Amino acid sequence: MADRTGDNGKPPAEELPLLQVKDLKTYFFTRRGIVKAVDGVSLTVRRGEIRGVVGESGCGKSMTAMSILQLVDKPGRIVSGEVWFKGENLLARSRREMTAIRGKQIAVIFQEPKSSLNPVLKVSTQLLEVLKVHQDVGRLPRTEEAVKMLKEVGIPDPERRIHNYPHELSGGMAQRVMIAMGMACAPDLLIADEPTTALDVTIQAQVLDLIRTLRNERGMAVMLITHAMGVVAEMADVVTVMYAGTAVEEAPTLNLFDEPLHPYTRGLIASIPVMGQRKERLEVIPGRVPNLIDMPPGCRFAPRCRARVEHGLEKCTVEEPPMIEARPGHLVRCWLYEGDQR
Amino acid sequence: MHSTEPAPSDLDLRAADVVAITKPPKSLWRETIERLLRKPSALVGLTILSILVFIAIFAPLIATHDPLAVLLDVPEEGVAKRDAPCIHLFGCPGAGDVLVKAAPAEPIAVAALSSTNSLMAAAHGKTISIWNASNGKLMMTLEHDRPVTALDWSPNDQKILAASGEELYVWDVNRRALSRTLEHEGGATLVRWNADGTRFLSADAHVVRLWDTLSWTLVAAIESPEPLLAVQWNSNGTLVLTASGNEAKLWNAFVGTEVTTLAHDVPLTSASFNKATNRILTTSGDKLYIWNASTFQRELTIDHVGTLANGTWSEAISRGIQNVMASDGDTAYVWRVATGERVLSLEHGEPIVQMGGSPLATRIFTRGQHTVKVWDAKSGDRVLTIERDAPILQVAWQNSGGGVLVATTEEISVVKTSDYQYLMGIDGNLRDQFSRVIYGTRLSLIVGLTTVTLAVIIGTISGAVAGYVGGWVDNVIMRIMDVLLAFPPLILAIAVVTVLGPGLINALLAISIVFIPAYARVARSGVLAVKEEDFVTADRVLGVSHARILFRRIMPNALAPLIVQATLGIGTAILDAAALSFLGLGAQPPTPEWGAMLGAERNQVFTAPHLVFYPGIAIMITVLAFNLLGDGLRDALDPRLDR
Amino acid sequence: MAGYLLRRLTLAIPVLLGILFVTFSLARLLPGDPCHSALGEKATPEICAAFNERYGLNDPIPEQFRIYLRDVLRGDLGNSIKFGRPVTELMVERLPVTLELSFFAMTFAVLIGIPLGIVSAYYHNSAIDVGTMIWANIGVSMPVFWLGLMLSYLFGVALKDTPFWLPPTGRLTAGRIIEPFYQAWGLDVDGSALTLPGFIANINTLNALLVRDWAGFWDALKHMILPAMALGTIPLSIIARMTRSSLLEVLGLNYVRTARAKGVHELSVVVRHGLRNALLPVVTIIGLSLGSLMSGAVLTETVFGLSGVGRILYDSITGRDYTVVQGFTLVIAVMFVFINLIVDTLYAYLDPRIRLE
Repeated sequence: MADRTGDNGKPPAEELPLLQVKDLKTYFFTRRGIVKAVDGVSLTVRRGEIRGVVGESGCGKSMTAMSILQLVDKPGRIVSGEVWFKGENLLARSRREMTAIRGKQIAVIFQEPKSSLNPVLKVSTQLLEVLKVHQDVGRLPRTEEAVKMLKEVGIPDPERRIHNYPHELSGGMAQRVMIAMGMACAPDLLIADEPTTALDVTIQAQVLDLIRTLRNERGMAVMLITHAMGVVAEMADVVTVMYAGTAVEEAPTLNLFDEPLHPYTRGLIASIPVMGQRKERLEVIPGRVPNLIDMPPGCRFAPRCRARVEHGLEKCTVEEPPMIEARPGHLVRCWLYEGDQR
Repeated sequence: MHSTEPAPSDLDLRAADVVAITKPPKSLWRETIERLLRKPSALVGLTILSILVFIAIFAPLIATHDPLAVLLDVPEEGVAKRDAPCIHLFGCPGAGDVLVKAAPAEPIAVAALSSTNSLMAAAHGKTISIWNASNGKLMMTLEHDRPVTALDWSPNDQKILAASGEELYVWDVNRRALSRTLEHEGGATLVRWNADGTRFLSADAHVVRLWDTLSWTLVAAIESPEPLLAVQWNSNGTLVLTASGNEAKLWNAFVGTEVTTLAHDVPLTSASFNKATNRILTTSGDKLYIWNASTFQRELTIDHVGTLANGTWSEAISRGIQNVMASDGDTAYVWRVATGERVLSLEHGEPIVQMGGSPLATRIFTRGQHTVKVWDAKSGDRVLTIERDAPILQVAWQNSGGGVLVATTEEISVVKTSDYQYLMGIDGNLRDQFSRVIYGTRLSLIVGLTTVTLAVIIGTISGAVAGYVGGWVDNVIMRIMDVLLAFPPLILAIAVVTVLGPGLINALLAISIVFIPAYARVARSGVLAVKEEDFVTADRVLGVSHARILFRRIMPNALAPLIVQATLGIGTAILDAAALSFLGLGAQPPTPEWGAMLGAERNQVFTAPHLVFYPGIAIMITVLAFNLLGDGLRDALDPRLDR
Repeated sequence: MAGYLLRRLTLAIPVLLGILFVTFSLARLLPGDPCHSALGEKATPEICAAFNERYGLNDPIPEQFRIYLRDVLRGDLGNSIKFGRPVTELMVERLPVTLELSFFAMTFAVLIGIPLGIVSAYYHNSAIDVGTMIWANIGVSMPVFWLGLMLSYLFGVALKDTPFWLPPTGRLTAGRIIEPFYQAWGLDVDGSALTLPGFIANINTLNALLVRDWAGFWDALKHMILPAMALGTIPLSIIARMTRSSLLEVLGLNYVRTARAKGVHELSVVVRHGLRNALLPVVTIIGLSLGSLMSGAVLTETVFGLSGVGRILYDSITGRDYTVVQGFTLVIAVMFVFINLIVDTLYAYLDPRIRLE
């Protein structure tokens, strides 16, 4: 793995990643204080890869995605960082240029598909709108194209469905429509923000399958944001674990599940119920995500960290650890591995 | 955002299994109030409201007058009906302040305030200048061929009559044009319109000429052998009083024939009609006589030691005051006509040449060569001394009695003689508007609170019962509410008051009825929301009475939206009550209710906008305060809407 | 859609009956006996007996109600005591003025309120937003009649001799006559105020447009501006507040985020995705405002000397002309019910979630 800490500025020339986020900070300036929703996140997505981003809700993973697209609502603001996409820094782009990139080169699908579709517009209208805004002026998209788009995401009876309103669709169907909308302009990157959270379990599998199939067919990269370790294990090639606004561990999926290094990741993995395995109780990480306004000094996880207590580390509460490449291609933000660094 | 506390230090992480670190919830009320106090709009609303409540409670201390008292009974002269408000903040003119001043280049010969006091004119050299009497702006100049010797305003301010050389000029002030020129042999030293503008007279030392303004002809010329002392119209323009030598005479103004002669032993020094022209005052030698102007009998003779002059009246019949006054050298004396007793003697300090009683007889001015003094007509205290370097030509009261016109050879000015201040002016019935607006706060707050309380009680009970009992009871109650809601609110209130009859209480009832459905709906939905909750079921299983369950267990949970609705409702109730009063269906005059005050003065909006402005702005501020508070409460009780 | 409409109509029937019952009871609750209040104090016992017989006042209450219903359905709302004419006639005669006034007031409120709300929502928490909301709050707190008086003073007196002067009372400048359209078109119709042509010709601005009398139109419009402003200010404030809060809510919803993520231009996001949905509750508010417009018309017409329905209602109140008050209350309430029905239907039409239920 290449250097992911982003310290040397330019991405390596020989293997240009599709997306490289460097030290991204997005803060919300509220009356009660500055909420550091994203606080120094760095991550990379290569062409064709599925990058999993996992963490508890409120850890800033969705906000990272929104920051990449520059869709952060007030009072939030991207404070610093770089977002390199296909060799260009998106944060240097004008609003108009970003509008052209959204939906065409980077597409997003959201958590709640039904509420993510406009209730007063027909499915076809919403599907074709993507084509309308991104294609050459003067060429009106035709209904057949919408039918084709729906067919590709496996919606039965698409000729009828395009005339439906969102409230007439099931959740899974709506998510497929969202995916069709995302795929309409053949983007290089699809950001899937908790695409299955609001869906039934059986539908979840279908939607995930669809995403993987589309990736295999089209060769686009996917940034899969989720809080479910199971989804990540099944889908992702590489995983970033986030905690309280920053990435704490990053590794190829197999490595991560084989040998989770960060105490937080361990906790997360331990909390997955495993079929056939009897446990008295599921493991629970004590405490809660810290208040994003006044972050604890030092490691953000330290107050909840059992390993810290067990190993008697003093440094954790004083200084925040850097990303340490503890194993080849396996980075972790924890003082436990200070000595393992190559 | 998650609001979590840092982990407590005694948290045993080694053995931790499930540790929930949550703060015990603050009491709902405390939290609500805290959130409320963070909203600037709610704070503004609360502040205004507390001020209003303060005003309402301490209204008697804040108000300067009794809100119902007609100021005429407590004579405060200088206050015109619907007098424009004077706000202390910007400085009000007080007694002695010059309201307007105008100084033409040439020496002034004659000056006069117009009949309505809105214009003032002065003749200087060959020119008459006319100024706006409220701001001193020069309105126009009227040029003549010869020096102007006399001028007078017609009763409606339309015309100005001027004597210049051997001619009389009648100017149309509106058109700023000369409307008539009349030959006048020998020139005139005095011109006077009669009260209705149909006639005027002109006089020199020996001849009085009577003119008709319809045909513009000379009606008669009255010659008098001795120099004329006084020439005066009676109030309906039928008689002319002249005084010369030992005789005062009354003449028929239509034909110029003598009506009677009032003979005196010694030469007269003055003669004048009273305001109603039913009496005539004459002074001659050391005596002052009062004659009946219809029987020509002498009614009263006042003996005095010394020579009297400048006899004049100080009377306000409506207030039962009829005094006469005359001067003897430096001193002015005032006698009561009814008894003949002397009531005042006023030391002026230089020979008095003119005296005058204010229109309501509360003030007297005495004029010497260089000073004018204003006296209180009751106590005889000196109110004011006006000094001028140039000789004073003429002094006259303003119609309002609030100031005097002082004309010297160099300038004319209007000097304020009254010190009374009315923050918001005086309404059409001569009541202090400020005090009424202040007392109105009480009424409006009471109206708002009682109507809403009544509506909330009835609405909540019926809505809660409907929601709790359900079934046909619910259906019947809510259909009734639907019907009430189907009427536009004010229209229904109007219909109800029409039946009940106008009056504040009936208006209150009507508005309450109109508001019931809103609260019934809120209460019902609140009850429905928690009716099936476990704690209610538990109570029911335990056999708690229905009433107790409903009002002690369920209702508190439905309270929040009711409070919001009620707060917003108070504002609407005040508005509607004001509207009903405005239409004459609510509070009846002279109740100091804002809506009724607006209704009473609404026809005066073009002439006295301040009388409409203040009650309205008071309504607006009160309603605004409740609305702001209600909005703040809604946001505080429903954080989801907090933005 | 048809089913929805039918259901709403069915629901309206008991309400309409209720309204009729309320107005009926109001008449029966009048102080004094109906004969004397209708015919005046001079009515003799014989006349009263005949009167009671004629109006069925000796019948039992349900029978009286039935008669009342029958009369109302026939369009007979009784005779005005003061004018000695049928209430229905008075109503029809005066309605054009009120319709015209309400139309301009509502146009004023909508055309200014909605854009203000949009701008406030879009520049949320900016100076424009705060300013607009302060004004909107003041706007709903003002008594209509006071605003009317102040406007007529401001534009009619204080701004006299400036180009901003506006006539403070009346419908047309004294002496101006706009030729009724049926005359101008050479139609041979009865132009009395009770016929349709007369009714339309009574709407000055419309009539002026029909006969292309531009000077007349401008004159009639100028007379409408102040009353419309006075009457429209409260709805304007309500609409602006509602548009703002509704749009704010919608702009924070997921599908707006989706639209942005699709690469839709910001303006298009606000107008196409935000506004379309945000205006749904505004439609309801506009409907409800029409009710307060009716109440406001009574006050506005009184202040501006317009001889509309509200004015005659005011005159009847002061003249204790109960039949007119009763009849007008009934008609206004029924109109209000139907307006709400129309608004609900419109709402359903605009929102597929309800339309396709």
